[in-house]
Amino acid sequence: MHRGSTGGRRRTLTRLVTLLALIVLAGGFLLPVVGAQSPYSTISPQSPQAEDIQWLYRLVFWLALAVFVGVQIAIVYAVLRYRRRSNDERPEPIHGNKNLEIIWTVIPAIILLIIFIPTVRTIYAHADQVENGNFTVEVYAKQWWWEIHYADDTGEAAGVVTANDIVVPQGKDVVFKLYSNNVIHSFWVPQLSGKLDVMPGHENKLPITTENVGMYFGQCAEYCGDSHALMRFKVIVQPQEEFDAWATAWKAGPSEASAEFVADGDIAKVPEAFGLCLACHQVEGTNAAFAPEGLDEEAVTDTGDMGPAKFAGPNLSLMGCRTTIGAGILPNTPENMAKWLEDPGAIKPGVYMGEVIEKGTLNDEQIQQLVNYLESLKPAEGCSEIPVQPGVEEQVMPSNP
Amino acid sequence: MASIAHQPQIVPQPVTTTKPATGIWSWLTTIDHKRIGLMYGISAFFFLLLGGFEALLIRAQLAQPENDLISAQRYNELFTMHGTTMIFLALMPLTSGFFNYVMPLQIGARDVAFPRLNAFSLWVFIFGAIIINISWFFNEAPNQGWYGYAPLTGTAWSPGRNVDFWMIGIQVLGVASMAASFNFVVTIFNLRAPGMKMMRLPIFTWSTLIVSIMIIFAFPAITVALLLLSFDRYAGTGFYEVAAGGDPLLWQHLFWVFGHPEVYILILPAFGIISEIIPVFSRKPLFGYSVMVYATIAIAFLGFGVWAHHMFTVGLGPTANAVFAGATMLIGIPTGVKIFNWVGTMFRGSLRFTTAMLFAVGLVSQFVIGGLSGVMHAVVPVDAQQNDTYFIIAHFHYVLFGGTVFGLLAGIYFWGPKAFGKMFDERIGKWHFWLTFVGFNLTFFPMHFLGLAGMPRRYFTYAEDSGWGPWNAVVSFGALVLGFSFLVFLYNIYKMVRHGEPAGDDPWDAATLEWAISSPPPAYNFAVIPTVTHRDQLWWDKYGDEHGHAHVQNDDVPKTAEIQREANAAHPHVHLPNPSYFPLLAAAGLGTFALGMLFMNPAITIGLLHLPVLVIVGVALLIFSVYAWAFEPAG
Repeated sequence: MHRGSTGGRRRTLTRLVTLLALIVLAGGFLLPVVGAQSPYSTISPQSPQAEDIQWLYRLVFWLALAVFVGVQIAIVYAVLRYRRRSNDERPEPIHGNKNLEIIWTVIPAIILLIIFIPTVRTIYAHADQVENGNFTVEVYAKQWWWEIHYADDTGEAAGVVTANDIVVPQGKDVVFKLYSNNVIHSFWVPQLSGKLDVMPGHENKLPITTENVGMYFGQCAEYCGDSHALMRFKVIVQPQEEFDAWATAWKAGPSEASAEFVADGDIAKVPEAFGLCLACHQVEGTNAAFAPEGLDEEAVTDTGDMGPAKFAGPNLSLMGCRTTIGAGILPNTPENMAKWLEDPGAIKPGVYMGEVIEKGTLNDEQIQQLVNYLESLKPAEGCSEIPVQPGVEEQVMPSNP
Repeated sequence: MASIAHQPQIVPQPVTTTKPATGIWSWLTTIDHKRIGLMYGISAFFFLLLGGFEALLIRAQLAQPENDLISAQRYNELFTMHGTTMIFLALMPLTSGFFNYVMPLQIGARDVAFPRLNAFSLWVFIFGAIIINISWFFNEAPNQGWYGYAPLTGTAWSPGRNVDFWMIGIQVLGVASMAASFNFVVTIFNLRAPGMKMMRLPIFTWSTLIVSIMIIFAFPAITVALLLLSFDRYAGTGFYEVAAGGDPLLWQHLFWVFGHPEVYILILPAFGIISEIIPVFSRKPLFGYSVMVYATIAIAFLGFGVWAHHMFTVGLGPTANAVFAGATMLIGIPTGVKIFNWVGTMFRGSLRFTTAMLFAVGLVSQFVIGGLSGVMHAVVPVDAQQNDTYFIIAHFHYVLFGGTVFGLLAGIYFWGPKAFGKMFDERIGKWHFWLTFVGFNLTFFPMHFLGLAGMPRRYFTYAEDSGWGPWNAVVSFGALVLGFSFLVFLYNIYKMVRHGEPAGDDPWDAATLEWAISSPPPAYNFAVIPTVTHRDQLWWDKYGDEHGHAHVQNDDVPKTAEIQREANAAHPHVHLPNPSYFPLLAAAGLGTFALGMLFMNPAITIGLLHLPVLVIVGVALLIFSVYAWAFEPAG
């Protein structure tokens, strides 16, 4: 079969193919870069586990890019080179080629094998780390926030219960044990590790080695109902001594700073307006340490029963030091706290607190009283400084006073 | 060769059909596979537009951070219905439309094996689609995600009827899919024209066969899953409730045992379509026909062994994850083989870029992106970062849009002239293709970036400080372009129907039997059943033997097309079965029964029994129709 492939056409062809290859390569280089600016970036690893994943991602990315470029060049070449030039031409009816079929079966198989081996190695390596932790944090996923319990191997912090801000010391092999007594959630701090689902009836464990001090953004990654998008959290890695100070302050209860907002100046009590909150919330070291009968058991020791734990709210000890309100929705400022207390359902659709506190349930005076009290819940020496987030171009600073 | 010379010219007796019936009643009672195929196609296309509209609302909400255009609850309904609509009401029935219309023509049959069952499938599909969508009017649209993970679907967390509409609707649709699939399998095995051995089957017919077999094996899994969910919701059992000793993981296994084959059920028909189109517009037989057949079978087989790769983050343990990672990677091999064979078909061909060919080559090029990102997800630790993010959304839209939708659009441009007897405007068609191509990539490529930047799926809003704003704006703009491309397509369809040039029998110089008869084909398809001697029969007829001796005209043997023309000219009296309204009535019975499960009132109370009226009426109608159908003379 004869084709008039003039030199000119060849040149055009070569140029086009080169152009395409350049565009694709530019896109390829762009791909690893563009994702990095977000505080939730998956390709800005800050722990050994996330580094392992990043290594695998790069391997498979470059191999995929090579295959992509090869196939696209073949397509573009065929499209340009074999365009019909005359209506009479009838190419030779080639039905196939056994050698070619073997080649393009074996080459992908080899590429996949190159990917498969380190994949399996990493799967098992991470599985081993689950068994070799030295700092256990229990995470109870709720609709739509996170309750954090510190296990016995956490030193000063053993027994601490907090929410949405997960404070952990630097240099630990942390194992997060994940529980849900409601629907499925997924625990995900992209810079520290891949996600792991929180399955009702199952205990899932995620290992994260805390290498670098910093604040890391986390979020729920499995659809869990109305406010799935508003179920954020932070992992705050601090030097050991700061962590210990934080845990000690938690156990000590409110400081004298709270005295002016509570009855009789007795910091073991809570403000009058807090009465409504007692059904679900606790403050360590006060008469709100335990929720009323019927709720406290589930609220403190979450055993996987469905019942009241669906509703029990975050423990509010050291609330003044939390970075956010409503599981990462609003920066923790007095103005935002007032807004939240006025009508939580308007800020977080479907939230259970919105069924208890509607607009008008609390009057302005009560709201102010509660805001003052909650913002006063911090250590006498003040909150420890929130570290910056490493590996992210634009810092997002929480408005922690 | 000699067999063709002795082509029998016997015309079957006795006689019924004359002119094609017209009017709405003739469509409601039709059992003609072509009309049923068209009705599948048109109704599915409507749902494609509806699902697209839902997607545009989603994109409007996400166009900027902290947007409050759409409430959280409404947004959750929209993404659930977008997925459900696209998969069950748009893409599957569109492929079913192609199976119905094209497959019997390709194998030289006059209809499917069970024409009334075929009509039943169509009407059941339409009732199922209506049941799911009327939920909007009750402000109770499904809101649990198209994959409906337990226990969120339980009454404790979803007390409304939202989940019920979805659960019952999908159950009804399953009946339609199963009935249609059995029908296609029996048709392909039994009604092939004489001489059409399995390895002479057109490759699209192979896809029909394999996809139908997949449906038959896959759908029972979701039927069981939904049945258990029905018990949980209606009877208070606890199959998926931890507190009652059940396990939400059970749902995930059952669902994905269906759900993963479903992905191949959606993509293989598109592969089949372009495997017909690329050879025709390359003027070359499909490269590696038998390898393509085996690759399709391999994909279908492996497709049942990879379901847990949707569950890499649920904590199945390292062994399960490693095994399913390996199985998933394996499936990349036959898929790659297909890509290479399409490119191989184009090499040394004589390529003509009609709109159909553009969409077909577009599929090859775009599907590669979805395939490669799919391999990334098989790497379990990487999947732990990408799962449930926009990276996954990008991935499966490159598969389901860049693959399935491109393939279906190619198929409409390719077989549209056969079905309507008119040509599309190719100039507008090219505009349509390039708008789709650009809009598609503008919409879905940046989603890779959003996924890498950690944006999870199913978020009705995102904070400004997430940094996801700019790319989301680009994506939403791309969605507008993509939406506009469908307006261009609609205009092109309108123009074709109103002013299209006559297509003639064989406008593309194609190779398969459907191009040997008139466009649109007569009700009986083939005036005489053709005899097949070669794989690409019409090319063999037109251009000589298949061993490379191109340009050799075989004038000494009668050609398939000539035989049909002559037989048609002789005014054949082909016996066709009578139209029947019992399939429609039976489907209405099933639909009413399903509605009764949703609307327990009004009810009749007899003693302790509280009987919902709709359920009784539906079951009665179903039983009556099936009996009447069984005893109805076929004509």
